Amino acid sequence: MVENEPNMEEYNNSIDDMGLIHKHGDLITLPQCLIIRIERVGILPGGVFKLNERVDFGETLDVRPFCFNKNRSLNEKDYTDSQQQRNRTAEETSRILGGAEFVSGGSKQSPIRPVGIETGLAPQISTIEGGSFVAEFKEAARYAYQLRAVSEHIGVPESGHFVTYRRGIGQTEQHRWHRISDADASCCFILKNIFLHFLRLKVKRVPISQVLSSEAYMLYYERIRPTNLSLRWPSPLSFNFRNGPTYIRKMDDFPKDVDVVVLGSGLTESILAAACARSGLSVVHLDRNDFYGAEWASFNLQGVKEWIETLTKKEENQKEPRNDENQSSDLLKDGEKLVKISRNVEMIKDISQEWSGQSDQTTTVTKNEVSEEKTIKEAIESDFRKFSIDLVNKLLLAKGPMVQTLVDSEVSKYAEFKLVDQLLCLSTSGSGICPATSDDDPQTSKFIRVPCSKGEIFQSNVLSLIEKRKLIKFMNFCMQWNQLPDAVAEEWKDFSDKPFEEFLKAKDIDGNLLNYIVNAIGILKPNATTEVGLKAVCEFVDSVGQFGNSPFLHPLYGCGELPQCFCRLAAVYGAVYCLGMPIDAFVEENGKIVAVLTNGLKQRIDCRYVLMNPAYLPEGYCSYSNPSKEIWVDRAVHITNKPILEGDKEKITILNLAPLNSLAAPRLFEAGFQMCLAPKGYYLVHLTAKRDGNSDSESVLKTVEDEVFLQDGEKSSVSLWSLRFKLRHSVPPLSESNPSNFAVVSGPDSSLTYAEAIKEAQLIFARFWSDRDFLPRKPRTVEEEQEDTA
Amino acid sequence: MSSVRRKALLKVIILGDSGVGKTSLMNVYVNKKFSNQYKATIGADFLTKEVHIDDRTVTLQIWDTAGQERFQSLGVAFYRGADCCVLAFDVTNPISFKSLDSWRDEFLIQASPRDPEHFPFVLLGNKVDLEQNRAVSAKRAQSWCQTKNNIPYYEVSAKEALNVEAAFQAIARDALARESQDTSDFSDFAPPSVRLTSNAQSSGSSGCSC
Repeated sequence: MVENEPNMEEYNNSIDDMGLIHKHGDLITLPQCLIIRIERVGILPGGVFKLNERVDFGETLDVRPFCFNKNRSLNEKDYTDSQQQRNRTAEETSRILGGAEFVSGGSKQSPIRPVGIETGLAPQISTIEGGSFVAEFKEAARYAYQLRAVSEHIGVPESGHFVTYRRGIGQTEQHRWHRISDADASCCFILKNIFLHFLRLKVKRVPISQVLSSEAYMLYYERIRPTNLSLRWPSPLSFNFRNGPTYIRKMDDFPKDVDVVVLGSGLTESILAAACARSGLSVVHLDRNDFYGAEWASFNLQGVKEWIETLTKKEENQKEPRNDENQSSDLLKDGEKLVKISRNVEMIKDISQEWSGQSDQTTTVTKNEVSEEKTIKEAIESDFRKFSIDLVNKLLLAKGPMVQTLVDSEVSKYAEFKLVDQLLCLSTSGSGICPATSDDDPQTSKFIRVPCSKGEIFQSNVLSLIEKRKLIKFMNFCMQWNQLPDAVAEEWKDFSDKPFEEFLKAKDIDGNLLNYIVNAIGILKPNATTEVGLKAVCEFVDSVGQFGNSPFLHPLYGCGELPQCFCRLAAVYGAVYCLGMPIDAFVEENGKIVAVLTNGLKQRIDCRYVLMNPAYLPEGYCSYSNPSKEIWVDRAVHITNKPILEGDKEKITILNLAPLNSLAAPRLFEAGFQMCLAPKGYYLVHLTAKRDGNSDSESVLKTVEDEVFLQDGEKSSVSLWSLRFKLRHSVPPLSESNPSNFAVVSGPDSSLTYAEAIKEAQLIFARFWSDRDFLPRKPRTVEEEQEDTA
Repeated sequence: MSSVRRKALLKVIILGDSGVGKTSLMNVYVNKKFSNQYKATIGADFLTKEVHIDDRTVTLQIWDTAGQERFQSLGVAFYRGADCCVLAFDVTNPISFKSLDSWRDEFLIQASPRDPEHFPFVLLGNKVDLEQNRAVSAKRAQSWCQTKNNIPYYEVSAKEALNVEAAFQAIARDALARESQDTSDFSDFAPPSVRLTSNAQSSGSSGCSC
């Protein structure tokens, strides 16, 4: 059965009731390669015949049942026995005896310990010492083998064909299977039925299902290394390999008493965690997800898939944990009340992901000077890690509060940014039917470029000289207004609450120029009144030139970096981080939350304040929610391989689509390789729109997409892959009897900038700690001051 | 995804289990300070140091995990654009040695460098001053390194500042070698990224630039 017979011990041959012979052997040392031969040739007095029975085999193989001394986690005695063998030298660690490995330094206990007895949990659950889970993760993978190749013989004993199935090599190729058959060889010689010489072989890609249903006679398995096992590092809590042990981190040194517990790692929560830690408060920051960012996260392509899977699974796992009242009673003191945290607030809904028909077209991929024909879908999937797909898409205004906060707190040093170098608006003349060809000809182009800086205005060939003069004159007026609004009162006061557009028309601005100003400003403040509009113009103008010819910045690798940067600052100032942590309940006393129970009600963290994402709201804290009053953000993300407006260089583009639907104010952001959001040659197109509870179910983004992605695939951008979902912005109404020492942040908003998130974080911080500074600059060290003077 | 930066600034990250001495190694190298007292990292961010390699001056920016590895909560942002990855273990703690494979894999997955086979790693075996408690022999560490495309291995002691300087010099050299290779990959013109600093902000022209 197994080729490595010297490694085997104890052969037990037995015959069962059915008359079948069972052969059993145990492995002592696990070989790197496991080759299994399936006997296919039978010999009868009449001659040889072939056994055609189907043999089931899997893509992975867990050899624990075949290991000598394997049931460590189930068998306490075996486990303790192996523990005693631990005082061997380090060089022996590669030798495995059943489930236990020799580890030198007899004083160290095994990091895996069965905990079933003390906690009543399932016996296969083990604990891990904090910090070395990685070693333990390997422990589980140690028994796992992956199918690398299969040999098959088709036909009768005297003649037939040999077929080999082979798995690709390398991280991107390893999910592909290739079939080589001597029947496909263009030339082969057969000498005495044995010798085969192939001149040219045809290699065909086949699905794994075909491999697994083959009439195999040789199976080649290789031991799995963690990289092969999972595309993303599995969370120690979620990792579960073929009934392998489920890990729980050992939380012995986890803080038991802190000032603030922050639940959820979205941007606003992360800013608050940073602000609290920075001001000297002790902070524990937890997230039940195993990634940073909550609704503000970004994922690679595989990550998106996993995220969707977890969200859909979550719905099934809504069931209440059983008898937790009893379990947690020892964690409660007299007079304390337990408030369970349910997942009753849905933060994301209506998720769907799909590949468009265009992704089936083939493309030539050249890697290491080898060209290969692939479908676009395969090409994209093989580069899945190079995508960084944001759930929230926003820009930083150079003079806006986010940049100010980043710079003041020095969080900015953890990230890099790039300017959004192309500001587009829909052409007024083009009705959207003509394809985007060149911006040089505004008559045929669907999108036109909005000039931002003075230089660009002068160079612009879409504005006439008169229009340019008008624009400069208007800008000057805005500057005057900004400094002394009353001095120019007669010019604008009457329009103050009227639409900005009306005011512009009164200022003799029309046509393209009106379109420009309304669009450029509208991206900041859709449907502005004159006063708001004028403010926005000033913000805009003020921001241009701060870092370059554009008022907008975007973080490299995506917006999902920002929460992580704030979390890092919090960690630097002592906040303790734990992702993938189940958050179970609050403990209330005298109208306050005094503790948070986590980790399956096993961990109690006493605290003075709780700041949280709405997803952690206990049911009892919310009052009746009227769905029509909810505010959501409509989102769609597309992968394309052509920019919406082709030019000579790759651009980072923002396009205001508000004219298509002024209420939802949709916008489009496009960036790719330059922003480290996609592999070379691919682009991410982000669409964002506002959506209130009353909107009908058909998404406004659909109409926007029809407008942007033309069906004419030759010339314009087409969607290859798309992801759609809705993000909750509004916090459900809270009941009045809630504890006084907690705050809920709202979900991401639909506006372009981060102003609202910063403002909200500042307000919440000021509500509890009005005497403390919000993210002040780091005090300079003596050395730094000396450096400065020198 | 590798970094688009063109820089004389090299990002180096230190990975390894909690308590192997990552922060101490950084501190000894940059500030020449060592504290025997262990507390899980608080306040360590990244340290920068100018290094002269042949005739070039480069700034090493050494990133600490800021303690976020304690409960396995390092985010992907930490790994972005690293030029060199320093793996550290404690020679008296075999578990920290066993974790190295996983830390290396974790780095390759999260940072997804352009050429994972040749990405510069350096292995540091810390606490060699505690020779009597040694549990991982130099030979064993070296043979691990050999299987990983000949990662350079240094036995160091943060406490006695033993070999630390030499190790980081090698780290800088490796990172630099990779950087020059990387720049050649980026032949086409791309506008540089912006680093937001208070200087950049005040130097920008204000007011009517439009």
